Amino acid sequence: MASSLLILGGMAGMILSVGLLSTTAGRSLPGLVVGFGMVAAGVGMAIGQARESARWAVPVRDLARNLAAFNDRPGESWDLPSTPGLAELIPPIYDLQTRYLSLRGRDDSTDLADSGEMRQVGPLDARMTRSGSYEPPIIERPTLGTGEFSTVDMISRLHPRTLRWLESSQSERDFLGWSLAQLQDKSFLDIVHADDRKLAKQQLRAAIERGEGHGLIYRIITARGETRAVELNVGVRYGADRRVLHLRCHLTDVTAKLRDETELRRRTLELTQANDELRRANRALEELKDRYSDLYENAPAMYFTVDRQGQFQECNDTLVRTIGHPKWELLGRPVARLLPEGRRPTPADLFAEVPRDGSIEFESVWSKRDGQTIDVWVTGTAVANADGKVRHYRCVAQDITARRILEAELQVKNDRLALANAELSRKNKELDEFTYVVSHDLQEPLRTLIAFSDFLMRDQGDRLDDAGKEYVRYLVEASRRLRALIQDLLSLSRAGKVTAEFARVDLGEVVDVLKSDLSELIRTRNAEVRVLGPLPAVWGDRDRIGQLLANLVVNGLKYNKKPEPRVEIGAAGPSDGRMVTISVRDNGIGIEPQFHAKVFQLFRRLHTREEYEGTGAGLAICQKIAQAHGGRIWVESTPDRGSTFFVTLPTPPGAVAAKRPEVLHAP
Amino acid sequence: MHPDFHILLIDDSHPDVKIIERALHEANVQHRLTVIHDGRRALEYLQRLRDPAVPADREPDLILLDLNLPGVDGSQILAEVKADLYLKAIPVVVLTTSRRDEDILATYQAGANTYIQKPAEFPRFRELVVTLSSYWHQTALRAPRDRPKG
Repeated sequence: MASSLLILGGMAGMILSVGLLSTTAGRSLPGLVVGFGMVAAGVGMAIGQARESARWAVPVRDLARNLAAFNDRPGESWDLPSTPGLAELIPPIYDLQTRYLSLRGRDDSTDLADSGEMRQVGPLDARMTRSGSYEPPIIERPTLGTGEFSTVDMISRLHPRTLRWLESSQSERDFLGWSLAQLQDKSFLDIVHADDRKLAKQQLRAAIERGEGHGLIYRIITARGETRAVELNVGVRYGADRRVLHLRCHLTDVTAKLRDETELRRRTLELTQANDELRRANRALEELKDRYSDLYENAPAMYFTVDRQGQFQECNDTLVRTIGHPKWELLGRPVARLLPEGRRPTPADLFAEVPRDGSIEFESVWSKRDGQTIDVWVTGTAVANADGKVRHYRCVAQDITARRILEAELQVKNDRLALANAELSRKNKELDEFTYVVSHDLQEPLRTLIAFSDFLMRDQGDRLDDAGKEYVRYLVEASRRLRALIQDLLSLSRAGKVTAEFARVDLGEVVDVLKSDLSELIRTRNAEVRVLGPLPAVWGDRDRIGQLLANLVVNGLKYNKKPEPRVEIGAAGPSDGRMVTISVRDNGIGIEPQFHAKVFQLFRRLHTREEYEGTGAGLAICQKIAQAHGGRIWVESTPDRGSTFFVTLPTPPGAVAAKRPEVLHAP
Repeated sequence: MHPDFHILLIDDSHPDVKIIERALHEANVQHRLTVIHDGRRALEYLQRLRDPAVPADREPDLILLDLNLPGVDGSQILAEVKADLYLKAIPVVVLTTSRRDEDILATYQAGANTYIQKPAEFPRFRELVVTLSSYWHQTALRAPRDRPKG
C-alpha cells in the first residue's frame, strides 16, 4: 500500500510541476522551484512503481499463463474451467492484466528485461516485446448474455444418451436456425442428413465410448432447409464420479471448405486429365514426328536441300547411306563435289541455272565414297523468301542406275529386235525378189520350149509318126503346166506386195466385176454366183482383194460336181470394229477335215490333174493376200456338202468419214 | 506392107529372134529385118547412122529392143537413142519379159514408145506383132527428117 501512495505522491508532484510549467512559463526564478518539484515527483514514482510490480508479478504471471494456454487452443478459448465461480473472476483478471501491462508498457523496458520470469509471460508479452513499443492487445470481452458460450464458435452440449441439445452457442443457433428451446427438443441425429445419419450414430457412439471424436463430417439440414456440411469435434465431459455429464460439441461449417476441396479435387482432376491429355498429345506428336522423321530420313529417295551457292544444307539418311559419305562431310559442301573426277559440272549441277518457275530437273552422275558412280535424277523446287529471292532448293534425287542399266539392256534388245526385223523384212523381200526373178528367168527358156514345140508340131507334124506326135504333145503340156506354175509363183510373190496405197474397197463392186470377168465360166458351168445381203466396204488393195475373191469363187465352181454349182458371197458379220469377216460358200465337193489347214499350202493338191486342173497355188495366194491385209483365212467344210471359206479383212478407217458424200472442190 | 519397112531387132537370144522373125512373117508384115545380137555392136550401128556416108537405107523405121542384153544393156541403148536429136525420132518398141509395174514404168521413162511383153504363147505374140506393125506402119509413119549435114 505504501508503494501505491508513493506512486500517487509522485503523480501529484508531476501534475503540480506541469501546472507550474503551464502557468509560470517564461519566468526565470520560479524555474528552479519547478525543477525541484519534478525531480521529487520522479523519484517518488520510481520507487512506488518498483514495489507494486514485485507484488503483482507472480499472480499475474500465473493468470497470464493460463490465459495464454487457453488462447493457444483455438476454438477453446474462453472455455470454462470446471470450477464454477472462477468464471466470474476472469473479466476482472483481464482488467487487471490489461492495466498491469499498460503500466509496464510505460515503464522503461530495460529493468524488466532483466527479469527472466517476466519474459515467459506468453504470447501477449512476446508480441509486446517484439514490437518494441506497447499497444494494448485487442481482446474481445466475452459477452455473457448467452451463457457461457462464445458468440463466434458453434459450440453445444448434447445429452449423451438422447443427443438432444442441452446448450447451444449463439452462432450455432444462428447457423442451424433453431432457438435453444427448439434444439432442446431435437436429437443431433435429427438434423443430420438421412444418408449420413447411420454413420453419425455409429461415430458418435464410438466417440462416447472413447471419450472424444474428431473430424467427423456430416451433411446437416438447417431449419432453413439448407444442406450444409459440418465438421463435428466432440468431447465427452465427465462428472466427479466419472459419470458422463454431456457431450461437448464443436461444429464447424465446412461447406465452403468441402466445396473448395471438391473444387480443388475437380480442378486437380481436370488438371491431371489435361496433363494426361497433354502427355498423350505430346506422345502422339512425338510419334508423328518420328514417323515423319522416318519418312524423311529413310524414304526410298535422297532428300536434300541446297543453298543458293549449290551447297548441301541438309540431307536425309538415305542420301548418306547411298553416297557413303558421313553427313558432316556433305553439309556445307557443293553438290557438284559429288561428280566423278574429271566430269565437268553442268549449270544444273551447280544450281546456277534455275528456270523461271523455280523447278529444277536434271540427270547427273554422282560418285559414291567407294568410288562407284550412280546415275541420279534430280528434281527440285526453289523455296523463295517473302521478297521473292531464292532461299534454298528442296530437292529429291533418285538413283536411276538400275533403271539406266535396264534401259540400256532394253535398248540393246530393241536394237537387236529392230535389226532382226529389218533382216526379216529384207529376207522376205529377197525371197519375193528371188521368187520373181526365178519365175521370170524360168519363163525365158519355157517360152522357147513352148514356141518351138508349137513350130515343130506345125511345121514337121506331118513327118512325125503317132509316137512322135504324142511326145511333142507331152512336151507342150508339160511346158504349159510349167508356165502355169511359174505364173502362180509370180502371182504369189506379188500377192504379198500390197504395200501399194490402201483404199476403201467396196466389196459389192468387186464382186460385180468378178462376176463379169467370170461370166463365161459361170455360163458354161450353168452356175450361179450370188451375193447374200449387202457387202461391206473394206480397206486394202483392190486388185489383190479381187484376186482373193476370184480365186475362192473359181475354186467353188471348179471343185464342184453339182449340175448347178452355186457360190454365195456374204458378210459373216463384223468380228469386231476393226475387221470384217467375209464368207464364200459353195455347194462343191467339200474338203476332208484333215486337209482343212493343208489346202492353204503352196502347190498342195488334193486331187489328180485328171480330176481337176490347177497348180494348187490359188489358196496359198488367197492366204498370202489375207495376211498381207492383216487378216486371215480358214475353211469350214463337209465333204460332198460344200465348203465355206472365211476371210477377215480390215474395215476402212473412220467408217463415218467414208460414208460422207464426196465434196467437190470449187474450180 | 511396105517392103522398105526396116526393122532393127536388137536381141541376143537366137530363139527369140527366130520367134520374132516367124511372127513377123506369119503376120504378113512386109519388112526388112536387121538383127544385132550384141548391145555394143547395136550402139555402134546406131551411132554410125549419123555419118552422111552411111547409106540411108540402113536407118531403121522401128527398133525392137530387148532390154536384157549382155555387155551394153538395152536400157542404155534406149537412153542413147532418146538422147540423140537425130535418132530420137525412131520409134523404139521394148521387148520385155517383165510384168513388173516398176520395170514397165522405167521403160516408158527411158523414152520407149511402147513395149511388147514376150509372151509364152506364140499365137498371141504374133497377134501383137501384127497390131503393132500395122500401127507403126500405117498410122504412125515417121515424120520426114533430114540427116544432119556434115
